[in-house]
This record gives sequence, structure tokens and C-alpha cells, in this order.
Amino acid sequence: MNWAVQMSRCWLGLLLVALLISWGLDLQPGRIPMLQSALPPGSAEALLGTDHLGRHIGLGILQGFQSILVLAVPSLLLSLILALASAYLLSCEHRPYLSFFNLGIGLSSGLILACSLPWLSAFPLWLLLLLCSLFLASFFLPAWGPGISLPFVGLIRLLQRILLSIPGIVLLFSLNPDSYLELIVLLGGTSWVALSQFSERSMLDFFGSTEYQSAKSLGIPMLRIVGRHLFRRLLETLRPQLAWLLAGFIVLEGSLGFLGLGLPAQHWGWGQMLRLGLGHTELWWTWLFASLCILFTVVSSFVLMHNGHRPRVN
Amino acid sequence: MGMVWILRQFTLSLKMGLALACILGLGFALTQHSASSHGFEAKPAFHGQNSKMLPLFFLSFQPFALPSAFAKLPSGAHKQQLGNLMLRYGQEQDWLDWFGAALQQPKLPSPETLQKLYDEPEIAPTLPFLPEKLHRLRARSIPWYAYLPRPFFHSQNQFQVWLWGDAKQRRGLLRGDLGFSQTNGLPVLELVLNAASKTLLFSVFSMLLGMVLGLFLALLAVHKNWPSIPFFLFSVVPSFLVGAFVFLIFDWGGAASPGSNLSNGLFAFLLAYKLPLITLTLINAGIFAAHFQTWIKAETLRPFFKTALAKGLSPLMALLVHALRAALGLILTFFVQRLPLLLSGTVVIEVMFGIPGFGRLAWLGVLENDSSVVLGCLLLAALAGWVSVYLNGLLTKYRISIQ
Repeated sequence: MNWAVQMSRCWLGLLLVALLISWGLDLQPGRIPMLQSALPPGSAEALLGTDHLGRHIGLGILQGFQSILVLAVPSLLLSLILALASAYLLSCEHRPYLSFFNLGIGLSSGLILACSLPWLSAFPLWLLLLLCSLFLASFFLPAWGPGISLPFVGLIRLLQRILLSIPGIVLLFSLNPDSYLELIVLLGGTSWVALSQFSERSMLDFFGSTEYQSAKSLGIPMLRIVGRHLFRRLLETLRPQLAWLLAGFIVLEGSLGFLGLGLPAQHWGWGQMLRLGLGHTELWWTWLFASLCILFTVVSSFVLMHNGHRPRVN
Repeated sequence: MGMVWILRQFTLSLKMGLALACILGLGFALTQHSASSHGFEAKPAFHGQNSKMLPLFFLSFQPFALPSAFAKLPSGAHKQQLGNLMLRYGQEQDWLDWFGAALQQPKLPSPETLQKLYDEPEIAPTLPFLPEKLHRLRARSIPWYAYLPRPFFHSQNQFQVWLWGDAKQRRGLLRGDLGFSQTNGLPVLELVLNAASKTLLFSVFSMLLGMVLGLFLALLAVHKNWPSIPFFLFSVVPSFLVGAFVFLIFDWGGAASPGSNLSNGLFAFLLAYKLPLITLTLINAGIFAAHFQTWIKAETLRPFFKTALAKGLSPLMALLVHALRAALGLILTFFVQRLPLLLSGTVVIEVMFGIPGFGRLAWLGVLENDSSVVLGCLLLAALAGWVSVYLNGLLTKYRISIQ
């Protein structure tokens, strides 16, 4: 599969270089010049032609790639952070203990936070903030006095099951995010469960391994053990999952654009190009280039992350 | 044992139900926030309830509050002065009684007189229109704790009405009422079930076809020793892209209509739904083939398969009888995992080909800001997902117990 990896690198590199050149020429998205409508590819004004509104197809493709870069990579990072945090909480020995001291601190800080945010009028969000502050207080503050151990393992498992139950795309377009930040939070916040399950298994293996015990007995700090050994092992394990997730994010972004949802109309994406192009099938360049871009980018991201020779389910 | 098992299942179901309700409530809240942040005119959340979009709790810093009967008085300068007097001197009921009686009189005291009474309470006994109860006015002292913020609860808020209903026309989600659509006023439950039945009509068909085709491709690939990566690459291709190419290649007339169903005959049904059927079958076949090939191939590397070959069984028979049977547990689990997609995995296809099904209903609900319909669709999709997760757990337990 070396040729596939090389081709993928070439394709993504080409898009990146074109994007950088377009930034250098001040042809940023949102400033797409209007030309004569329905110009075929190869014309002097527009190399890849224009659509029925006179927009430059080539610049639209670059804008779509920029949207994917801005959305998919931060969403993937957020998802990874959430997955690693939940897996660490599930696999480490430390358990949160809720004493009266922690309860008081957690409740008061949660109440102050909830009351000081005027947009937090919805009760579930209010309750969620209170529970989060209680959990943080019980996990990080010293446990003085009598109290109870929180059943947080069961709670995280429950959350995982719930997120597994609700289909991603239905949840995504029900909430109808309309900005980059909302999309990143929703994509990352709803897709960490599979990563978390894989990470947890890997972490449990690591904490039970002789490698970890020897490092600990040699007095190596925990942060260095995690950074040098655990993180490297985790990335190896999670690589196929990350490849699927990245491809999934690109597909989801395209699907939302195709459905006319997601980012506002000035963020001209590949899904939108394809939707408008299918209304004018005789202008083949308006839908063909966008289709090829989606296809090549999804497949290239998948191949590069997957590294070509690692089956997803082993 | 039986009783314990039943209790355990009951507890698990209860926990899952409660958690699902919490998550749906959160989704509801976010939907409302999202809908209001779009800059459109806010629509009523429920049929016939325009003014109930309230927060559950709110904090008040006001040391004293006017009674609710005050809001019903006719507005004007008199009302404003009366409110000032009530807040300053207390005795709210006495003031209300007097003002109620004064409203019946032909001539009311002027607002300036009331303002003078506010500034100089000692003139109260000299005013003939005031009753004796209001002759000794004393400005009330405000204790320090009155300035502390106090939480108040809005009863009959939108969450309560959505979950449990009200005394009028709503029965609430817990009593099987999903509300009414804000665009056409029809019951959401009826709309969602009707759309889901239309979706299931072709999605079940394409899922089964895709599974059979995927299994055939996987067996062929293992038998011929093909690599698995092409199937994986095909399975990550977006559905709208597959649909677009199917649309460009196979669109030779005969579109789906709301009346198309199996009662018109299988051929007519297949002709009407050919585009979504082909698209979904191709997508499902790619995904099934990719996974099935990996699992069946893993079984062929195990000793029992090699023993069967060494005993003289042909490779094809060994594959069909031994490897496939051994991988059947995983295949079944994966199939159950994909069951919720019968409803929610067809959104793009339905929108693209204009099928009036579940996904298109949800999509239209989002576009028209119809939160009741969107919530109903989300609930049904989550319910299907929950059933799938539950079934998967049971299957896994069954497989472990057999092993």
C-alpha cells in the first residue's frame, strides 16, 4: 500500500500548497469574485470554471478544504482529550470521595457559577454544571471527614451507553450548530466513546504491565511515564480509530453542507457545491470536482491515518 | 434466580430510561438555545403555549415582591403609585382592597395625591378616601437577609409540560404524548411513526440485501485472498456521494411517491424506490464486506481451520462450514449494532431522493424550526439505539456463556 500512502500525501500536500498560495494572493474565502456564470473549465478567468452564479469553482474547493482543516483537526483533538481523560478516570486507582467538606465546596462553587452565567437558564445545563463542580471537588480536593465514594465508573459507563445510543448525525442536525466552535464542540463531544473504550483497555494493560511497575520502582515521575510510554502506546492502539473518526468528521461536515445545514452560506463547502451542482447536471464541472475532492480527501485521510496496512478490527 | 434476574433487568431499564430522559432534556434545552440563537422569531415550544418558555429556576435580588393580584390591575399612573406605596408601607392586601373599591367609584384620587402620601405618611388620617386600616402608615424596615438572592421555581414551565403535561391538553412525554407539530398542528407521534414506517419499508430491504451481498463479497475475497483495504476505502465514501453517482447513472424515470408501497406489487415498489435502494445497498454492502472479510480471515488463521483442510475438506467448504460459523457471533453483533441505522442512517438518502420518511421529516423539522418534531425524531432514534445497545449486551453475554 505504499503507493496509496504516497498518493494520499501528494493529494493533501497539493491542497495545502494551493490553500497557502490562495492566502498569499489574498483570495481568502468570503471574498470570492463573481465572474461570468457557467464558464467551462480551462477558461482564462477561472481554471476550473464557474458555477451558475458565477462563483469560481477552484476557490470554492479551497474554501471547502479550509473548512475541513478548521473543523476536523480540532474536533479530533477534543475527542482524543475527552477519551483519554475518561479512560484515565476509569482505569486509575484513585476514586473520588465525597465528604462534607468537598460537598460544601462543590455545591457552593457550582451554585455561584450557575448563578453568574445569565445564559445558563436551562435546568439541565444548570444541573450539569453543578454535578461537574461536585465531581471535580470530590476528585481533586482532599477528603476530610466522613463521606461516600462516588459511583463515577457507573456514571461514565452510562454516559458512554447513552452516547452510543443516540445516532451522531441525528443529534448533530437536531442541535443545528451554525458556527465553527459549535460544530467542533458537538463533533468532538459526541464521538469520543469508541476511542475511550479502546484507550481504557490499553491503559489497563499498561498499568498492569511490568514496564510500568519497573518504571515506577525506578522512581520515574508519573508525568514522564505517561508521556514517554503510555501516550506512545496509546497512539499506536488508537491510530485506526482516529483514521475512522477523521474520515467520519469530513463526511459529517460534507453531509451537513449537502443538507443545507451547518455552517452559514458564506462558508462555501464541498457538500453545498455538490448539492447546488446536482441541480444543474449539465454543468458537469460544478459537481464533478467537488465530488472528487470529497472522495480523495476522505480516502487520503483514512489511508494516511490508517497507514495503509492495519486492519480496523483485529 | 429468576426474580433476581427480573429485578436486575428492571433496575437497568429504569436507569437507562432516566438517563435517556436527562440526555433528551439536555438536547431539548440545547435545541431551544440553538433555535433562539439563530435570530429567527422564537416559535412556541408547544401547541397553544406561547408564554411558557421560562427557566426552571431564577434568582431574585428583590427584597419584597408585589402580590400576583397587582398584575391584573389596569395599568396607568395610579397603578404605578399604588405599587410604590405597597412596596414602601406593606399592608398589600389592604391597599388592594381599597383600590379595588376605589375603582368602582366615579372619581379616583389623583396620582399626585398618592405621591404626596408616599412622601408624607402622616397626612394619611386627613385623607377622607382612605379606610381606617391605612391611617397609620409606617415605612417598613428591610432586614439584611432580604437582600440575599433567593431561588424561585417556575411551575408549569416548558420542561415540566414537555415531560409530564399540564391540566389542559398536554399529557407529556412520560404519558406518551410528544406534542403537536408547529407547522401543521398534527400530533408528532403520528407523524413520526408514519414517516418511520415509510423509511423502514426500503431500509430493511436494503440492509438485508446489503448484508447478503457483503457476506458474498467477503467470502469471495477471503477465498481469493484479496486485500481488505478496498472494501474499507469504499465504506468511508460519503453516502451523498454514492447517492449522487447512483442518481446520475440510474435515474431513468419512475420516482418514489408517498403512495408507493408493497401493496402495489413488488416490481412497482422496486421501480419506485430503485435509487435509494441501490444507494443504501451499495453502502451497506461495502461496510459489511469490509468487516466480515476481516473476521472470517481471522478465523481461517486458527488451528481448527487448518486441521479441517488437512483432513481433506475443500477450502470453500471449510470456509463456509467452519470459518463462517465461527465468525457468526461477531457478524450477528455487528448486524445488531447497525440496526438503529435503519431509521437514522437514511437521512441524506431521503433528502436527496425526496422520500417522505423519518430522516426527511427530521430535516424539515430543523429547517422549519419545528422543535417538537425534531425532538420526536431524536427520541425515536435514541430509542432504537438504546434497544440495539441492550440487545448487543444480551448477545455478548449469551456468547460468553456459550464459550
